[in-house]
Amino acid sequence: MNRRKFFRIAILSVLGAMAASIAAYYSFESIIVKMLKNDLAGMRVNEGDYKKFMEEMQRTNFWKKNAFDWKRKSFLILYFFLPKIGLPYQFKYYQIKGRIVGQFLLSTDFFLNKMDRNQPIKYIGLYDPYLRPCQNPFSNMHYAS
Amino acid sequence: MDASKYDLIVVGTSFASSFFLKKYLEQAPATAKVLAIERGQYFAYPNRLKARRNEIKEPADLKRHYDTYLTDSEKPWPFEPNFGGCSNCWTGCVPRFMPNDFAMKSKYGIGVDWPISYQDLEPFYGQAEQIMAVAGPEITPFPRSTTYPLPPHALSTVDKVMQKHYGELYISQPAARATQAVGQRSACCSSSSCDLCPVNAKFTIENSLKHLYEDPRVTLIENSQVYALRIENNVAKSVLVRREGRDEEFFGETIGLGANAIFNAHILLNSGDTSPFTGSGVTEQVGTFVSVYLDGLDNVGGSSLISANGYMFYDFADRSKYAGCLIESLASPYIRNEQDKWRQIAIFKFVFEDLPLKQNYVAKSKDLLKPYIVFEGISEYAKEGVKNLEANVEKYFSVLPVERIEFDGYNQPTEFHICSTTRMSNSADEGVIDKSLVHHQYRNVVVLGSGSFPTITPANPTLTLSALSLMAADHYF
Repeated sequence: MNRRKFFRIAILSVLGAMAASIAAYYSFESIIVKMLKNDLAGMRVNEGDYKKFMEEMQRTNFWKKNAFDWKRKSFLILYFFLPKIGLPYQFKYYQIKGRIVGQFLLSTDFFLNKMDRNQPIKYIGLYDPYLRPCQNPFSNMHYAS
Repeated sequence: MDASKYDLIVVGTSFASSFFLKKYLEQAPATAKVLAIERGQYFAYPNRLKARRNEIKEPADLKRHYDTYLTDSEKPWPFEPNFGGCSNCWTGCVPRFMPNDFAMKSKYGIGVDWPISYQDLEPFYGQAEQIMAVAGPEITPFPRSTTYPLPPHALSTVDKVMQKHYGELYISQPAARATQAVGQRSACCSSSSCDLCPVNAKFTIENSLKHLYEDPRVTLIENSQVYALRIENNVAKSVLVRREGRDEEFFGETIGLGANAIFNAHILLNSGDTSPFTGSGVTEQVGTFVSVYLDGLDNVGGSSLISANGYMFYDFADRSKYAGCLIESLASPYIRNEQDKWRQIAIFKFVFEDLPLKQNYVAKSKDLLKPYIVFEGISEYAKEGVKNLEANVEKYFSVLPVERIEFDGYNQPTEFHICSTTRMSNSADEGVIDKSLVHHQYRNVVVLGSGSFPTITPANPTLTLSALSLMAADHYF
């Protein structure tokens, strides 16, 4: 085993151990809610809507259907706690986190209200084009030229 | 005529076979006998929707692409092995190829020239666009003798800035996603889930050409895989079929192979085809994403999943050095996760052409029904194209108020476009089929689909392979 490979395995083992310890205290769902609250701080979201959202995500198998396996979940949990200073795959973390925040906001009337921060945000139901087609809030259906 | 002998046997029910069959039936007599052989089954659109909503389960015996071939490579080759084929899962992007795509060798010294020109195919492009009821703009970078049947999709605010600067090199994407209700199709309402359109707006074989398979001249059999042709004195006498575990044989005057680029080649190899080009060069495009973070410009108002195509990197002097690419502007509901800048972002996909390489090929395996696919990797030409993008992308997007640009940093595993395993050519020394898609050696076998492409291009292949099927039927019958 060369030096580089040794350090790589050592770092991965430490990160794995950290993820396992964090996972022992926090569920994936509770991390996602924390993540949403952080990123939507200052916006008028009803506390109970986070719970509704998480329940619907669970019930509709969203995580499984969107390839959130244990590796991806552990990655999110770990990166949520780590300081974001030049970490490898940091942009991937922001990309996945953005997707979850987007999924939450698309499940509300925030974008349909043209992103008006002054209006309270109302939860509509999990964003799913197969249950509610034609609801892309950025399309020409909502922004006629 | 023998009761079990058909005038025409078509293999597969996707674009290649269906467009060929359509042209044939338009001129065939009432007494004509056609057999259409589908390896999978008919899984009706309403049931596909129910399954997507978890209301029902998909049939347990529904065919899946990953069960159909063998490979040691990680690269997937997805397709839909059921009635209607990839029309059930495609996105409906139908740009034409550019005229220079047909003359890559003479124009750029790359690959080979096609044995046909853009002008040869042009009338059939128009016909295919009519059949698919394509929505498209008035002005395009490729010449057209016909207008698009439906008005174009709406450009987003970002697209409009780009179009103002780049003119005909940046257009509303020609799409088989209807902008107005047509036939059994609704108008697209930008649900951005095109693989299975929630409102049945995109063209599928089921919603637009299923009647072909209900024609009294046509017999359709399902769950039947053609694995070889019986060849005698260079004439295909019959197709050999595995049907629900049993072997059967059907005799035909003319055979239209429209399986796909993997299975057309495999059927020919199993039939004793010894052309060095059969199966050789399996390839597809290379796609990568770029996110453009905008300063003060909300990216809104685009319609459909992909609102525009950019041709700025497609056909240019340096195409002799590196691959060209087609740009797709995504209008799906992604966000930028920064408060008050939620939609100040544009995501573009860059789809690069590649070259059919000898080291990537389809071969026979020990399993008569399963081809073995060897894929060593993409060409240096395509890799150079991606590098060129990284070097120049800021310049091309400088017309936008850009905060920063972020590369995804990796290529997509697949573009879902399998090509070039039965390439067309002027002679048998250079390819498998002639310029009318007839096999050089077996003159009653027409080999349809994107396997016929001698070179691939940055543009999506479906419109071109459909137009080629219309042309092949027009020439043959």
